[in-house]
Amino acid sequence: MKCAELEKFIFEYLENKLAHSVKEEFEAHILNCLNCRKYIDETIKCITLFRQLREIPCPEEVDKKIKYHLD
Amino acid sequence: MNLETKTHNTGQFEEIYESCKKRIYNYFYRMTGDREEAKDLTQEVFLKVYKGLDTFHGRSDIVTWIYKIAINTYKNFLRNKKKQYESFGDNYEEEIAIVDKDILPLKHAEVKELEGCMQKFLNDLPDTYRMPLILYELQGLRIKDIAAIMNLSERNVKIRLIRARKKLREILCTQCYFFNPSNPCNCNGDGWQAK
Repeated sequence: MKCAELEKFIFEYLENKLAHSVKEEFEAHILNCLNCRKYIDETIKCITLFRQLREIPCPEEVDKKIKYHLD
Repeated sequence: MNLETKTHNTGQFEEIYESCKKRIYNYFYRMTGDREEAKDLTQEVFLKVYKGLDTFHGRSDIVTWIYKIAINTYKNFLRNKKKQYESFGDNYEEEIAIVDKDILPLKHAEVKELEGCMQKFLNDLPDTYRMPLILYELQGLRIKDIAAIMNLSERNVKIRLIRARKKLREILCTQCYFFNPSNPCNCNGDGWQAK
C-alpha cells in the first residue's frame, strides 16, 4: 500500500471495518511510514477530542411549550 | 381530527417526544451554537411531528422521519435568517463533562474552553460537512441512516465525514493548545478564531 492509497481506507480502518487482508496491508504501511502513522494518530486524537462534546438536556421550557400546544 | 384519534395520537406522540427530544435539541444546538434557537427549532419540529403523525405510515424508521423534518426545519430557518453562522452562547459551563477521560484528561476549565473552541470550529464548517459530523460523531447515527436523512448515498456521507475530519485535524493540529501544548492558543477564552 502506498501513502496516497491510505486515504481510501482510512474511514473503514478507524471504524474497524476493513477486510482482514487490507487491514494487514494498511497496518504494515503505517508501521513503516512515519508520516502516515502520525496522520492516523492525529486523526484519532482529533476525533476523541471532538467527541468530548456531550449531549445536554432538552430544557423544560420546550416541554411546557409543547404541552401548551397539545392541550 | 376526532377525539379518539386525537387521544391515540397524543399518547403515541408523547412516547416519541420523550425518546427523541434530547437528540433533536442537541442536533439544533450544535448546528446553531445557540440555545434559544435550538429550543425554538426543537419545538417547531415536534409540533410538525404531532400534526404529521397521521401521514407517517412506517415506510422508514420514525427517528429517520423526525430527523428529516428537523433538517428541513433547519433549512427553512437558515432561509429566513439569511445568515449561516451564529456566535456561541456563554452559559454552558455547568453542563460540560469529559467523556473519554483516559485518552485526553482535561481539567474542567479546559473542557469549558474546549467546548467553546469546538463550537466555533463547527460554526465555521459548511453545513454539508457539519450535519454528518454531528449526526455521526456526536449523535451516533449509522452511515445508512444519515444517508437516508440527508438523501445522499452512503458513499457520499462517508466522503463528507472524511473531509470534515480532515478539516478538524488541520485546525486542531495547527491551532489548538489542547491538541498540542506547543501550539499558541488563539482562543482568548472565547473559542477558536479563524485566522
